[in-house]
Amino acid sequence: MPIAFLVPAFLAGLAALVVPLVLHLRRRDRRKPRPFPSLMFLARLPISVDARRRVTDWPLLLLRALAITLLVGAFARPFLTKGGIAGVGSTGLTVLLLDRSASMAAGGIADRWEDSARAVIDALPAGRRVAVVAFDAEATILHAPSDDHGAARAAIGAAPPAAGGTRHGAALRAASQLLAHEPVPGEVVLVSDLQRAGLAASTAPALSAGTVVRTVAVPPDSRDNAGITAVEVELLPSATGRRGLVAARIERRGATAPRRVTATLDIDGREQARRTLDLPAEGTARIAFDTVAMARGDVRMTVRIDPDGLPVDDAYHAVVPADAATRVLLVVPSDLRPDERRYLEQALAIGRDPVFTVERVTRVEPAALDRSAVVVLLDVAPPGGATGEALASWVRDGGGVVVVPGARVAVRRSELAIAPATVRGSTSRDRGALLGDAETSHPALSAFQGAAVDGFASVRVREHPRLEAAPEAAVLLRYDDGEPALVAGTLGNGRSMVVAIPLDVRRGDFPLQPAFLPFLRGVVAWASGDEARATLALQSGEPWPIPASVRTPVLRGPDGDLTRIGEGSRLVALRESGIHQLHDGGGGGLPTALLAVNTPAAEGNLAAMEPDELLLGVAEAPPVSAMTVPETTAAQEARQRGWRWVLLALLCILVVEALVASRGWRAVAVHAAAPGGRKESA
Amino acid sequence: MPGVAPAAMLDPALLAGIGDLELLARTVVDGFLHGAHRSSRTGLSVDFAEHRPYQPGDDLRRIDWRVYARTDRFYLKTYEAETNADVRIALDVSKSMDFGTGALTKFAWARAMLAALAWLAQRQGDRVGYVPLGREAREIVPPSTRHLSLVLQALARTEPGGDLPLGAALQRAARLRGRAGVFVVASDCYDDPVAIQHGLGALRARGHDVILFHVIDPAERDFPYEAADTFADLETEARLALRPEEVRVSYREAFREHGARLRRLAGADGADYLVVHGDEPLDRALRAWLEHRRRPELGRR
Repeated sequence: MPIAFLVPAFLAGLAALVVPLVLHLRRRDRRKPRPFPSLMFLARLPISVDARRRVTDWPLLLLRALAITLLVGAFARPFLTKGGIAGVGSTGLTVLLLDRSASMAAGGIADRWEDSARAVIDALPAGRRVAVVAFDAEATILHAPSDDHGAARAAIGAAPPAAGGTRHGAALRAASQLLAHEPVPGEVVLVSDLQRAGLAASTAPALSAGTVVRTVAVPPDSRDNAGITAVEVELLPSATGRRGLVAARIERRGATAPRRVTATLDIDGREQARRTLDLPAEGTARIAFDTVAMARGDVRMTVRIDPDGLPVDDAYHAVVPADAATRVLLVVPSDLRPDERRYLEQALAIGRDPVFTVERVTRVEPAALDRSAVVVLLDVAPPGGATGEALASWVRDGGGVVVVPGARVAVRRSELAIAPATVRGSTSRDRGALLGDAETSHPALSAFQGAAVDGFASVRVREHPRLEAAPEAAVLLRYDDGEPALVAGTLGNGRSMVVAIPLDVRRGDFPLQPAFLPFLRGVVAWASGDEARATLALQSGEPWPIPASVRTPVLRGPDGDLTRIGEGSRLVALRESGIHQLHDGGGGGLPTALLAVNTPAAEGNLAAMEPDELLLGVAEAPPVSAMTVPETTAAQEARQRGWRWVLLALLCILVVEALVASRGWRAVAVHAAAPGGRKESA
Repeated sequence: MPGVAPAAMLDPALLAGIGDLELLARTVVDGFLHGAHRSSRTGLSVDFAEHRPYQPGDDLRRIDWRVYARTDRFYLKTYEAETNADVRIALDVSKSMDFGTGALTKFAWARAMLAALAWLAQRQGDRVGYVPLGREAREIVPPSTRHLSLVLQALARTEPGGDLPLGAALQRAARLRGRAGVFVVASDCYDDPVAIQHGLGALRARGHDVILFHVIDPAERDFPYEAADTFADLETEARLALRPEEVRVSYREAFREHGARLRRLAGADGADYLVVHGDEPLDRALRAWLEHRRRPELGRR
């Protein structure tokens, strides 16, 4: 049984091994010296340093080093682990992870990955159980653990087409769950192009000790790839209709020489502009098209470049929403000071896509609800009684509400009724609380994807309400102590959100930070159901909330396939790149909404990582048997009593050391300033 | 000690077994004289030098009555050795003398040698005294014809442990009262040669004839050590870690240069300088002593 340590931090004490070594090198004169009448001649001679810096008593040094090692080992509390590293035999489970991210569509991978995956199964001994998991940003079990290798091979053929981003962490987490209840450590085999971008997006899962992780790399023919990572649209006012300036950002990686490409802009299916540009071998280029005319309604837009090894990112789709204002009903307490609402109102008044018009009131009126898309309760608890019922009914019918509990609401525990969280008072942090763990895949925080999420890092909050999220709610943002800062949920066809971040500068500096504006506009836009308008496109795999007004949602994909959305599901995750159409009740007629879906930009970088990097951050889960069979206290103590034996060995070593160290004469050393100098008179 | 030739008693290996310093000294001198075939060097006799006219105040017992009978005038007889010399033996009692790789340490060898010299000088009629170099003045034995036993007892009591450098100790000895005589020094000479020269010069300035026996142990001269080790200075207890093979040649050269400077500087002040080794018999030292005492100018002190 292998040995582990209860307190491995004490092993840092092994650095103390330097002490006896230095003492033996520097203080050799502690041992028995050879008497000599006078050093007056020797002291004048040049003597090499290495003659002084040489260990002359290796047995004593080794004994002392061993004593220190044993002492450190005893403090680290060694114990015997119960699980050993098992080889791949006929027993146990092999989890086959199939990378189905968009990068797996690159040339050279698409026609080889299936053979590589099937070869893994063919190499397994008969009787060994196998599970097949496909993953991109999320993992899906294609074949539950069984010893039917034929079914597992068939499951490989049923794997979804390559799309979506790569998250190796999701795959390892799925494998961890499958292996969690196995009696012996299993095996994880990853069939992937080992794209480095998938590692960056991973979070650390935990695998049982002894789990074997190996990779089957399927590299592309070439890592040279150019892809469109973003499209920007600037709408220009026009008396005759809408016009827009369209620009695209193109990123190229893995090449060695510049390349000329042609980019085209399609508006509603027709090519409207064309430009050529020279892409660098490594880097980003921006191309702007001439001004184009756009319809007043939703506009479908696609920017394309010449195809290359990875075609899925050579086209970027976007939907320019119809230009319409979103009405916001801002409910404030009657004693609210102007500085407490100023930043919120300014943030909503600035910018387009969408345009907000704010109506400020001190009490909720049913008539005001009818003309509003979203209600913002700023330091006001949701009303009770008939007004509260009217508000809840309005939300269930598709309205949106944003609750921002301030000092007035947070003074006590408050049930927020229509909100997905409960206020449990407030908390103060002298040095300021930090924001983090942002769920940027949520539409409300889509503006913070990528490096933009760092915008939250500069926010300091001195006092904030403490929230308790409802079980079905989603926590989109947290404080550094784990307290929820932003909670989202649904109520009927409507949406509700609780913001526990002060929106004034009295209890924090959030309104003064660059993240404030996109945050607030994203939250209000999502609650109003207009986030699709505010967002030109989603990334593959991101959830898309179905507008509350759509009773029987039916999706038509880019290839024309119809998909009926279930009754209880109001969020759909779209993997296929292109323009998706949402219909109400059937696939015919004009679509109710349009949504553009694109391959995640990171998929275009085909740089590979080393297989060892896959396990970076992977923690060691408790031994399998420890989770399934509770161990008795006596058994635990028996496995952990090793420190006693280590101390006993230490005592023996010290006795031997004393005997070795006391051999011969050991003088008391007195160093003179100048050897031989006292005898000599000036 | 029946069965042992007296000359063999000059061997330090045998001397190491004799605890009584007086017996040792007598044995050494007898052995030395026996080996020298009982030569005529039995000491200074009272030899006639000349007659001189009587002057008032002269001792009447020294009037030569035979000359008076012939000439009817008073004449006194004068002799070459009117009085015996004051011989002071001086032993370096520094800790560095407590070192030896043979049967005797340098200190024990030098003590035996000085005891033998004292015995020999006593037999020659000299007055013998003792000066420990580096110790308090109360251990000094002034020269006298009856002080041989005191000198030997003082020598026997002396242990190495002085802390005064040789040059300074010689200067202090030069300030002692008494008649000028012969000053015999036994030391390992671990001091600046110039300082030693100053000490010898001070003795010479007081009119002493100085003989410096430089006592050397073979290990000091040859530095025969092989393994890397830490060496401790017996004087200062300072320590030095080194590899002997790296410094051996340089050390020998420095040691030889030290001796050469001592010889040159001592000779410049009229002192006799003699190197003796702790593993050699004592007769060389005794012979050097007798040769020194045969010098005609020494007999008229």
